[in-house]
Amino acid sequence: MPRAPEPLTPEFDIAARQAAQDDGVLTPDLEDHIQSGISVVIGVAGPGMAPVATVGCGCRVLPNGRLRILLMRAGNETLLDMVARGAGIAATFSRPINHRSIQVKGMLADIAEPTPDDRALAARQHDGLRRDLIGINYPPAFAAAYCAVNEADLVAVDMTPDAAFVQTPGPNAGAELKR
Amino acid sequence: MMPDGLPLSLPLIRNCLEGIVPSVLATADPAGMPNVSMISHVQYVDPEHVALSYQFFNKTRRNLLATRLASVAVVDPDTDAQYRLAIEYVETQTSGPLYEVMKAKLAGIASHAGMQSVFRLLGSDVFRVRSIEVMPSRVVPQRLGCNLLSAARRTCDQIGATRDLGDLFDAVLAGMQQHFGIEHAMIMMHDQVEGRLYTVASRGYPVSGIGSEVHLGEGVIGVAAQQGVPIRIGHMASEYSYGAAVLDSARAAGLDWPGDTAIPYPGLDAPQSQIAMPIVRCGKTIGVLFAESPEPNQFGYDEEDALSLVAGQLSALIAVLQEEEETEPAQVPVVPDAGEGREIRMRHYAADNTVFVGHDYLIKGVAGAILWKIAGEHAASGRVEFTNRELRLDPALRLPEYAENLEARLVLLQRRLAEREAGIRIDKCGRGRFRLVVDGPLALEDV
Repeated sequence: MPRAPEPLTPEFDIAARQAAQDDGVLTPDLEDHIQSGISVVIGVAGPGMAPVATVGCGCRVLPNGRLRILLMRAGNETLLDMVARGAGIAATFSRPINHRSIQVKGMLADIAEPTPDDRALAARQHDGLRRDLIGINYPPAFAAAYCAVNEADLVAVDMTPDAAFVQTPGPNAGAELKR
Repeated sequence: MMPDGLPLSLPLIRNCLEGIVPSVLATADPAGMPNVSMISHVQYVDPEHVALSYQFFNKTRRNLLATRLASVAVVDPDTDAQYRLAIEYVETQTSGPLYEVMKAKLAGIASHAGMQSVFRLLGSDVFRVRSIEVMPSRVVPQRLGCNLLSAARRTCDQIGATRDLGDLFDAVLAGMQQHFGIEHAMIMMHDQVEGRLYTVASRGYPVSGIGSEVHLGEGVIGVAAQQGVPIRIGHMASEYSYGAAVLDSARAAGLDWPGDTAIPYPGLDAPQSQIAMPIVRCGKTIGVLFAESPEPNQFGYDEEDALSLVAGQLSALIAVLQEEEETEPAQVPVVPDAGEGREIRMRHYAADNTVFVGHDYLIKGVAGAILWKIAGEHAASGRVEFTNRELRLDPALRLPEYAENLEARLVLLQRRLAEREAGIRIDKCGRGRFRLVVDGPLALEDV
């Protein structure tokens, strides 16, 4: 785990959320963060369904406020089947250069077909992650492979955010972000 | 299954479990609500088990205790090969070898990540691996590295040819340099009475540090000896640094810097990677084989396995050489032989068997007692030849019967005398026998 040149603490997001006059789960600032081309990691589980972890490639906030999370279909067949059977989803969005991490959870999730814009967005966002990884000294060849997006294989999971949590390492990590 | 038909098993993917790239951990609460987080590392325990570091009592921890099942996605930091493990919580260990292995690794990761004040190991959560699956990814070709099995074999072949303990120690370090490319290494032996390790051989340092000491539990060497388990660190952490530890313990004891009776520890000023392999005989740690590098992440699971073969062979050869020495019949020749050079003044402090030659500190402890004994006999009777056996049986030296390493003390004493150019030498003159050679008459003062 490389050094973050500008590490943040959970307090940053806890204070910002309390200051924001916003009743939604995500403030505009948090929406910007999760769409900013950073690391997206995903967990899916449901009643009677053991959790499954994976990595995502990007995220878009849909006009109706739901989140569209983009991931590869290959290797995620079980996870997608669980979503189809009513599993919930958790996604954590982390910026490597400052460890700022936000987890969003929702029990209502559906599989969707990505649009051409979504596919381009995933490639663009993962390229942002690639640059960040190189910025914290990952070898460029590794960063390029890790952030490679096969646009033809992308699938989307749309979720209704129920709650958001700060996951930045430090005291109060895990606190729910709410007014 | 792997594409080539080999079953996918944990030992094949250990490179993903070094903590170089964070892993993804998904858990669920009893209602099925998922939770996902990045974790600093997944530790390989054995072919069926991994361990995760328990650092905070957070949602992940509550979920694990409640539902026991988790999924973890891991990445090979060299190739980007990715795997998903389905795991089941077994137990939490809060002390012992696995805990210490993970504590050292986490300290290195925290130091590298600038998270020293955040990451703290509360326990090692052990999980049974229920399944492993490949997650498709773009895999980059692995760079060719050292053939570790071949390096271990060649080193073991080479060291098997030695007939003397000091030569054996040097051959191990030379083999590690030649076949593993390890430039900085040392061998320390365990003083079980004093709870310390003392350096008997080193390679790749400006000063040899022969005789320098590390306390049990101090740094990767001291922890490896205490726990009898290899300890590795990929990025240096201050709590495992020897300079700091020695200073701290001296200060805690209300002492000033130990001054002229401390032989400086020879290690690198700014190491990044370190590995300490216990040298074990009959379940007891008799010493530590240690290597380090200024580069990060130099010693992985495979290097650990390969060096464990070398450490095992070293242990066996130490035992063989000692047995050979013990079978030599004792001979006690007396050869009157007074050196003709300048008088050599030796001062002995009985409290801890510290010996000074002239104004310079030379040695203490059992090695000091041995020197004082043979110097005394030499001064009194001119005797020059001595046997290991008589030293072993001498009640005045208080050598414990169990596993105490007399021959290693003699190597230490021999090397300290040679380094200090004290005008006193110890030369082997047959199996289990050695000769004391002095350049001038000895003047002995017991304090």
